[in-house]
This record gives sequence, C-alpha cells and structure tokens, in this order.
Amino acid sequence: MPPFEYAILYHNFYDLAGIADIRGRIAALRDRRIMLLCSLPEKFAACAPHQQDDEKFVIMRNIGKDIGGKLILIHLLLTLYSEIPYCIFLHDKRSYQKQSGQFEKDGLYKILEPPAFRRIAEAFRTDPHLGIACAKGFLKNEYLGNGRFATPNSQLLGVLTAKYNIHPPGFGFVAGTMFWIRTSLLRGFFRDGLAPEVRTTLETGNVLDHEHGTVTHCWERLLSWIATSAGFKIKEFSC
Amino acid sequence: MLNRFYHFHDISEPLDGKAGAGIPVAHLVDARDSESSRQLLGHHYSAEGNYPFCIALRDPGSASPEIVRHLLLFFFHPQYERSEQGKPLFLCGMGAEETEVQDYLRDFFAAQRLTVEVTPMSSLDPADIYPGDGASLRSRDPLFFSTAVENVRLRSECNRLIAAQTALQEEIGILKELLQLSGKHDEVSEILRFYRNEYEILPLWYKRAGHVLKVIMGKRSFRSLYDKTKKKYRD
Repeated sequence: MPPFEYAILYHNFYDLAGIADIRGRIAALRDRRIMLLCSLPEKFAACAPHQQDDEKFVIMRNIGKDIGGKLILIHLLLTLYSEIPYCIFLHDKRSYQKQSGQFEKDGLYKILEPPAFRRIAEAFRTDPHLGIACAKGFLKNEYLGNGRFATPNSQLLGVLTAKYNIHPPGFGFVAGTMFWIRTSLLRGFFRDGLAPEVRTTLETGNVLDHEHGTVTHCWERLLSWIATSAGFKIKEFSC
Repeated sequence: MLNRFYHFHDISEPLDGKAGAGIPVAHLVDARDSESSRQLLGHHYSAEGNYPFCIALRDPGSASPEIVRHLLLFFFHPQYERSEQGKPLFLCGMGAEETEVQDYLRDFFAAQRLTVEVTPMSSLDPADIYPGDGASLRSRDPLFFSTAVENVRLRSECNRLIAAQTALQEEIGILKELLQLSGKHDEVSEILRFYRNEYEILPLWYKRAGHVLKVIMGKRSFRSLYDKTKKKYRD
C-alpha cells in the first residue's frame, strides 16, 4: 500500500452526516492517498465510527470550537502520522448568525474539489516556499499598523504573538480556518506537545468574538502566521 | 456488588485473543517506555483497535512527558473506558496512599479540561481483574458473566445518555445564541446596501456594457441578452 500523501483534519460538531459528506468528497478525488482525522463532540461517543486504516476518530469536549478539535488532531497527526507531507483543515461550518454562512462554507470547501485539489497539490510540489493554500477570497488582513488590528482580538493578538514568538512579515490569514498546510510547519511549531497545551487556553462552549477578543479567534489567525513567520507564503487559489 | 472487570494485558506481550472477548482490556504500560506506548497508540488508532480498553500505568511517578502526552490521545479514543460518572478510567500501579502522584495526574489532566478517574490498582476489587480469556469465564460462571456484562452495559448506556443530554443542551444554547445574534445583525440590509452602492448607482449604459463584457468573458450566455427564458449563468 503506498503511503498517505494527504491528511484531512476535520472537526465535525453538528451532525454525523458531515462525515458522509467528507467521505464523498474524498471518494471524488479517486486515486489520492488521503487519511481522514476527525474530531467529534461527546454527544457522538456511542455512535462514533470505528477506526480504519484511512480514518481516525477522536471524541472530546467542546473547547475552542473547531480550533480545539484541530489542535488535538494536529497532536494525533504529529504523534502517529507525521510523515504525511500535507494536511488540510476543514470543519462543518454552519454560522447560523449569518445568512451567508452556507455560501462561505461552499467557498472554503472548494480546496477539496478535484480541479482545485490537483492545482494546489502541484503548486506545493513545485513551489518550496508555499506554506498555505486556500480558496480565493478568504485571505484577510486586519492589520492597521502600530501593532493594532481591526478586530476585537487586537490586544490579545499582541500578547499571544509575543508569548509564542510568532512574528510574521505580514498579517494575512485565512479567515474560516480551512486551508492546506505543509505538515513540516506544524511539526516545527507544535513541538513537545504544544498543541494540546494551547488547547487548554481556549474558551469552552460557544465562542464569539463580535464584542470581546477570544484566544480561540486569535488562533484562527495564528495558525496562518505559523507558516508566514517561518518564511513561507500563503496563496489563494481560484476554483 | 459486581464491578467492572478487565483483562490485564502487559503491552510487552501479545494480546492472545483478549481483545473482543466481551471484557475491556486494561493495557499495562510501563511509564518509562514511550516507544511501546506509541505503538499501542498506533494499534488502537487502527482497524484492529476497535475494542473497549483502558490504560493501567506502572510506576506513574516516573512517567515521561511523552507518555503523558500519549495518554491524552488514548483518552480521546471513542472506545476508551469511562467510569460511571463518564470520566475516562485510568488505573495507576501504586498504593492508595500515594496521593501526591494521583493529585499530579489529576491536575495535569484537569489542565486539559479532562476529568480523569484515577484509580490505584491496589484499590481494585479482585473481581475487577480477570487474567484469563472471556470464554473460560463465561463457561465457568455464566450467570456472573452475563450479569456483570449487562450491568456494565446498562451503566455505560446510562452515562452515554446523560452525556448526550448535556451536549445537546449545550448545543441548544449555542443555537439560541447564534439565532439571537442573527436577529441583531441585519446582514440582508447590509448586502442590499453594498449592492446599491457598488452597482445600482452606476449609469444604465455602463451596466449594459458590463453585461456585454460578461458575455465576451464567457461569464454569461449570449442568448440570455435578448431571450429572458434562457439561462444566464452557470451554477
């Protein structure tokens, strides 16, 4: 059996139908060797799918929404499957607070559609400086200058970039936290079990940042800056 | 009282059919052997690892940080055994009096927001520990076996329902909050305002030229320019 080339780190919160959806998307990619790593909330503890050679499942409390789930999946990936060169972050985004939630999700998921998948995989192979790939329209930059950001998370971002020594040359990030990233970047940053340690700092339950900054929403940005602060670039792909 | 009971399996030895015999397996892990615990982790996160299990750690006082990080991933496994309170069960090879180590482990897992039921092995009821295979226990004392299995099954089903109820209540709370927020934030008006300012206020001749440009760029069908029954855009 050839080795796995891609790992999908998928946080499934709402409905197990989300897993069937991801399986369908993986099946559409046919000959690609893809491992699915999936985090589920405790409500699915009794009906979680079985572990397979190409599918792994973890059950956990709702801490830090999809970011908390992805951090444990990063820990699992780096502990057991760190040789898989590329990983893809996804989650079952719903955004009930916005009518445009489904529209946004469809846009973010384009990185898994066969034509985009081929182009991104090729770009990673040919461009050694490419660190993150995302769908077009989701690369945002909130930086205002003088260490300030146009978000309620501004102050907290300053604290966390200093704490984790993340100093990117620019402050572009992938809004929605669905993107491709080189596993080597995660391996370089989340050493010595840092991923579960970061998870302990995230907020529990539902986390919104429309009024106050949250550590969870800061990590939505920091996950992208891990790549750019290591000298890699983020590229958008139109699909 | 009938308790949970386990097959004890030293991870340096083969499993020998202990898995899947209807009795959870308590893997005895040496706290200093991180490579073996990593291999066990790989086993449980494979197609062969889908059976109920828990970890019994020998000499937890000397546990390396790597072992403790591996333990976390065991606890997140869907088949990991849970106590009656729904906490992951964790057996420690130490005396009940070694409260310092127990406290250390509890604190470590609490920092992960993971409440773990730390049980010293010395405090286990002898009925909890079953070294042989499930088949011989079943034939020797079928009533004990079936009652104990049913007891554990019903307790875990009860815990599962309590956990599911808590999680669903939390989810209802989240959905209510998001819908309230949706009511406060009028996104439709915002989009309509954006549309008016970016497009509607342009002169009519400019907008019409724009539609011709879309046809030239292949973004709109040519026939839709003069036939309203034709499809304008691809989905």
